Order: sequence, then structure tokens, then C-alpha cells
Amino acid sequence: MDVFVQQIIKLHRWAAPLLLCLLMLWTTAAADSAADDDLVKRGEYTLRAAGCVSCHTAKEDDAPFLAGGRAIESPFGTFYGANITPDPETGIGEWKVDDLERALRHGRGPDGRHYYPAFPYTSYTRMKREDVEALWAYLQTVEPVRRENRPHELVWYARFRPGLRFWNVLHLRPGEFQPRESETDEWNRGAYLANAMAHCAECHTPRTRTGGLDPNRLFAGQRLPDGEVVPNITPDRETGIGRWSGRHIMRYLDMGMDPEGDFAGSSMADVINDGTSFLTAEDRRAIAVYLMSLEPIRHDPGNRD
Amino acid sequence: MQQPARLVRGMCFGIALTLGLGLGAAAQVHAFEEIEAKIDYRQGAMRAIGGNMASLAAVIVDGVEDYRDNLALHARFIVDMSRDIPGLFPEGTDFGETNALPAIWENWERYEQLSEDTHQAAVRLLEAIEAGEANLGPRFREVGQSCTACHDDFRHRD
Ligand code: HEC
Ligand code: HEC
Ligand code: HEC
Repeated sequence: MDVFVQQIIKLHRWAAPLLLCLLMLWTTAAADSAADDDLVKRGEYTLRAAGCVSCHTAKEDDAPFLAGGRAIESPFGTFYGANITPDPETGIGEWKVDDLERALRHGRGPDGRHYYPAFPYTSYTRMKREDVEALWAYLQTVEPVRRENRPHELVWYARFRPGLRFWNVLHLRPGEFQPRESETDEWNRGAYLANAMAHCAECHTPRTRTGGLDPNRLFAGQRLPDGEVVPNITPDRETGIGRWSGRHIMRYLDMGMDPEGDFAGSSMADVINDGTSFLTAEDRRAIAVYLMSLEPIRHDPGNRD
Repeated sequence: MQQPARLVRGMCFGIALTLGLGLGAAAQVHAFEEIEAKIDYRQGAMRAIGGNMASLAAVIVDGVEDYRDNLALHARFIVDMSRDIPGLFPEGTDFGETNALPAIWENWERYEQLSEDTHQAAVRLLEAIEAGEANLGPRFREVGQSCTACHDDFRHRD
């Protein structure tokens, strides 16, 4: 046989496994990046479901996404949402996934400082680790924006962060969401979305004197210190949304329309536009199923006496 | 936030009312009632817009075909009623039983713009209905988004 042909055959003997190897490498890489894509997509969905966008994007029309600056009013003064883009100096570019988990689940910064509960970590502490990881994967793909955090404007006695340790002893119950065996998957999904993610109770529950959620009136509405009423969303027929059907709740979370044809306003408009309108219909239905299963509580937050 | 300012205004009005017990009293009581009536009118108008939106949704979103012929009727009401929403908010109608925020009169131009957005969205919905378009969902949603956009910044629950 011709030497050249022999060479070719030899090459072939090698080439086949080599090609196969390359092919395998390539497909696993592709599968990997597909898995990454999925994780990032899930993270983006989680960001919407957890309502992070409203607080971390300023209100102006062309405000840079997640670069902070949104004013959050409270009885202690005005908080400003932080820059959570991956900018290394003004954002969270130097963070690791564990730092994000500690912030969300324990309300602590990488340097150990306590966050103010204006950042609803008391709810996010129920998030599953896998959702935090997805969030992290997504946050790293966001356009980094250089924008210094605006300092909060608080009354003097609220400026002392270490004091928050005592607040946390009173009000932070760390730990992942535990599904209830006795309930359906749909109910558990709804409970998870409402409590660990969308933190509906943080606005819709009256606060105790020390600023925690009143455990006896969860979701029963409250009047905010500035006079604004956050309605009762338990299924009480007189003071809550007991007359709404699941379809009505789903539509409200989708486009803000209530059964009378009125449209949501104030902070709920942001909750819907930046958050719940991005959910799948199944997830909105799960939230509705959960809300309708709550104990009806008679409480009219609009009542001034 | 806006509450104290409104309270002070309401109180001033009350004081003026008390001091004016002589000659002007009747006129002032009348002025007060007139403002209340204007607020009643605009809330009625808004509820009517809302009622038409609810009917539109039942057909467009939920697919109740029986009333498809009424779609133009409902949309036309919203087109007409939204021609001058700012006209429903004359200066001085910001206290008493109203959910309108004082920010309206502090950002009048933006208020007019948002009102115009609703009007234009309603016009586009009506045109789509009259053209017999099958999928009216996106047009309906646009109108809804324009309502929320204004309620977001200019209305609260008292
Ligand atoms: C209700 C408003 C609100 C929501 C909702 C919210 N945050 Fe925040 N967040 C804040 C505020 C206010 C701070 C600053 C807290 C402080 O300074 O103590 C903050 C701080 C943070 C920080 C720390 C930034 C830093 O530089 O130390 C991270 C990270 C963060 N938020 C991420 C998130 C993510 C992710 C979500 C959604 C899962 C979210 N936040 C939802 C208000 C909010
Ligand atoms: C940032 C605070 C905030 C959060 C978080 C929030 N809400 Fe609301 N919600 C409000 C306010 C304020 C209103 C009143 C809106 C208005 O005046 O149009 C409202 C209204 C509602 C209504 C209408 C009730 C009625 O009687 O008209 C429903 C239903 C509702 N919210 C459900 C939810 C659900 C479900 C969640 C979680 C997914 C949630 N909300 C999260 C503040 C909030
Ligand atoms: C330019 C601003 C603006 C736009 C656009 C707007 N609204 Fe309103 N709406 C208001 C304000 C302000 C109030 C509170 C009025 C009051 O309480 O005096 C209100 C109140 C309402 C109410 C409650 C009335 C009551 O007192 O019972 C309904 C229902 C309503 N709007 C429906 C709609 C619908 C539906 C749309 C869109 C088709 C819409 N609005 C568009 C500003 C607006």
C-alpha cells in the first residue's frame, strides 16, 4: 500500500475517536450553556416574582435598571433602594452567591452589617436556595451601572444599625419555606409565591408597636402612617375580597383591574407592573388559590376609629 | 405624606367657614357643597368609565360573545369621557371625600399627558373594534395600563 494512504487510514483510526471526543465536549458545553441560560431565565423570573425591581429601580422613566435610588417612605424616614447591578464599586460586582443569600435570608451585608427591614428579608428568608442561586446567575448578567447609593434620610434614633440586632431577635424567623403536606401543590406554590417571594403580607398586614407583622391580622390590611390604606385581602365578604372570584384576583395581578373595572393605583400599581404581570397564569392562579384559602378576618383598615 | 397639607387646608376652610358666619356664611356653605358635588361628579364619571371597562373585559378577555355588538358602545363612552379628564379636577377639589392627591395640581402638565394617553389608547381600541379586529386583547390592555399609570402617581386610598 502506498505510504500516503496508510497515513490516511492511521489518521482515520485516530480521527474518529478524536472527533467523537470533540463532539462530546461540544455538546456538553452546549448543554452547560443551555443549563446556564435556563438558570438565568429562572433568575429573571424570580426577580419579577419577588418584586425586587420596584425598590431597586428609580421612578424616573429612563432610570437605569436595578441601579437603585427608589425612595421608600417609612415612619423612620426615607430609605433608598441600593444599586444591585454588578458594578464592582457602587453595585454588588464583588459579591459571591453566598453574600446574596446572607443578605436575603439573614438581612446582613458581606461586612456583617445589619440591613434595615425596609428590605423585606423577613419574607425572603423563606426563599429556597435554588431560587437564590438563580437570582444570582441573573443579576450577574445585568448591565453594570456606576451609581453611588444615596444615603437614607432617617430620624436620629433609627440611624444606629447594630440596634437592628434586637429588632431581628423579635421579628426575624430565619428558615426556608416548608410546604404543608395536607395542602395541594398549587396551594403550596401560592403560599411560597405570596410569602417567600412577593412579600404581599409586608404591605397588607398591620404592624405591631415594635414594627413586626401582627400575627393575628395577616393580610387583613392596614393604614400606613401617611394615611394611605392598604386593603384587607383576606376572603372576608364585608371588609376583604371575599366577593372576588379566583378569576378576579388573577386579572388584578395581571393587569390591575378589579371586578368593578377600577384599576390599581399607588404602590400596588408598581407591584403589578414590575412584578406579578410577569408571572405565568398558573402562578397567578396559585396565588389566588392561596389567598382564597385564608381565614377571613373582619378588619376595615379604612376605618378611622 | 400629603395628609398633613390636606388636613391644614381642610381646617383653614373650616375656620373660614366659622368666621364667615355673618354675611358670607350662606355663600360659603354653598361653595363647600359645590365642591363636594364636583367631586361626586368626577367620581361618578370615573366609575362609569370603570363600568364600561368591566363590560369590555367580559367580552374581550373572557369571551362572552353575546355582547360583542356592544363593544363599540362601551369604548365610545370611554373615548368621549376621557377627552378632558383634567376638566374633572378643578383647583380646590383636593379635600374632603376624595382620593385625588395634591400632586395633581403640582404636576399639571404630566397629569394632562396621562389623561391624553388614556384618551389615545381608548381611540385605538375603538378603531380596532370598528375595523372588526379579532384580537382586541392587546388594545384593551393598553387602555388598562394607561389607567394604572395615572392612578399610580395621582390617586391613593384614603
Ligand atoms: C420594599 C423594597 C425592597 C424590595 C422589594 C427589595 N429590596 Fe433590596 N434593598 C432595599 C433597601 C431599602 C436596601 C438597603 C437596606 C439598608 O441599607 O439597610 C436594600 C438592599 C439590598 C441589597 C444590599 C445592597 C448592598 O449594597 O449592600 C441587595 C443585594 C438587595 N437589596 C437585593 C434585593 C433583591 C435580590 C430583591 C428581590 C428578591 C430585593 N432586594 C427586594 C429595598 C428592597
Ligand atoms: C408595596 C406594598 C404592597 C405589596 C407588596 C402588595 N400590595 Fe396589594 N395593595 C397595595 C395597595 C397600596 C393597594 C391599594 C391599591 C389602590 O389603591 O388602587 C393594594 C391592593 C391590592 C388588592 C385589591 C384589594 C381591593 O380591595 O381593592 C389586592 C387583591 C392585592 N393588593 C393583592 C396583593 C397580592 C396578592 C400581593 C402579593 C403578590 C400584594 N397585593 C402585594 C400594596 C401592596
Ligand atoms: C389622568 C389621571 C387618571 C386617568 C388617566 C384615569 N384615572 Fe381614574 N381616577 C383618577 C383619580 C385622581 C381618581 C380619584 C378621584 C377622587 O377620588 O376624587 C380616580 C378614580 C377612579 C375610580 C374610582 C371612582 C370612585 O370614587 O369610586 C375609578 C373606578 C377609575 N378612576 C377608573 C378609571 C379607569 C377605568 C381609567 C382608564 C380607562 C381611569 N380611571 C383613568 C385619575 C385618573
